[in-house]
Amino acid sequence: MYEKFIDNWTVQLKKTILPLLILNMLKHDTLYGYLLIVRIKECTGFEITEGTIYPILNRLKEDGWLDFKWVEQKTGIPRKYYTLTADGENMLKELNANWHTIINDINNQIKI
Amino acid sequence: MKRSDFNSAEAYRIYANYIEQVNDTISMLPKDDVFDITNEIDSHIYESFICNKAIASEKERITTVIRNLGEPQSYLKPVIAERQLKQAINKYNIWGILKGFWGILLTGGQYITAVIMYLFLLSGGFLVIAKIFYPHKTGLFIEHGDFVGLGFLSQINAEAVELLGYWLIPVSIVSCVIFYLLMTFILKRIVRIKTKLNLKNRHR
Repeated sequence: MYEKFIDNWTVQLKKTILPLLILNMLKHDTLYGYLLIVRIKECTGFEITEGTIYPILNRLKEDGWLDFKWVEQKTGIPRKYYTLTADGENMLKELNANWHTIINDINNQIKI
Repeated sequence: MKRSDFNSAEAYRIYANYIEQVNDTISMLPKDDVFDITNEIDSHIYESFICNKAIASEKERITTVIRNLGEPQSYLKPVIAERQLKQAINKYNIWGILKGFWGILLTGGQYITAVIMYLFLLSGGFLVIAKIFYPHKTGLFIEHGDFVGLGFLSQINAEAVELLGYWLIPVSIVSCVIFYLLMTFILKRIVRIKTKLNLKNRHR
């Protein structure tokens, strides 16, 4: 009965936290789109598709949190590597702090 | 990707059709944007295609990759809307601005306030039409020196006086044009500042 609600809620939650996840993954690494998808799947089990990640990367780039560079490959197909900008790093620190606060508050409620 | 990256002609055809679909979807964007978007999607497809060798059939593999990406019209919608809006603002193209806003509204993006302000422009057009068809109910009304209303009033006191007469039409048109130019100029400045900030970030 409530499976559908839980499924929808889970999908929405994953979509919402995806930018946070992406920014955190790019904190220490320079990654390209496909590798990001693979890493996200490995670390969280989230099955995300290229069609989902592309608009998010574009949005983060337009907002100035990400930068990119094209790197030529022997295969002839260049890869677009994303990195965090200085503003992106500062913003992520605050975003992570907010995330911890929210999670703590929710966990406190759940315990009750 | 090239034809030589595929053994199966059918798989290559599926890939080529998809890229053509992407190109058709973004054909209205500037060349640099088309190049950037197509290359990124091509790169996604290539990496996915190469890394999914568990699927032996190339046709099945490319179909899976493309299915995962989805319809270009769908996932590229927010990207196109935003880039189109930037382009239209730079050219003072009202149709382009409205199209860009519409796309952004559909995808739940930013600039909602700007959309509402642009909608005020329509009220100017409405005043012009209303003045032609309902001249006595449309205008700038005052009563005993007090402001009563500007626009189309369904009920007007007998003592209320309309000040502008048919001058309301040119006044509305000129106001709309000034408002439109001012709004577009402000939007242009906002986009430019945003782009500068992005560039600054890139060069840090």
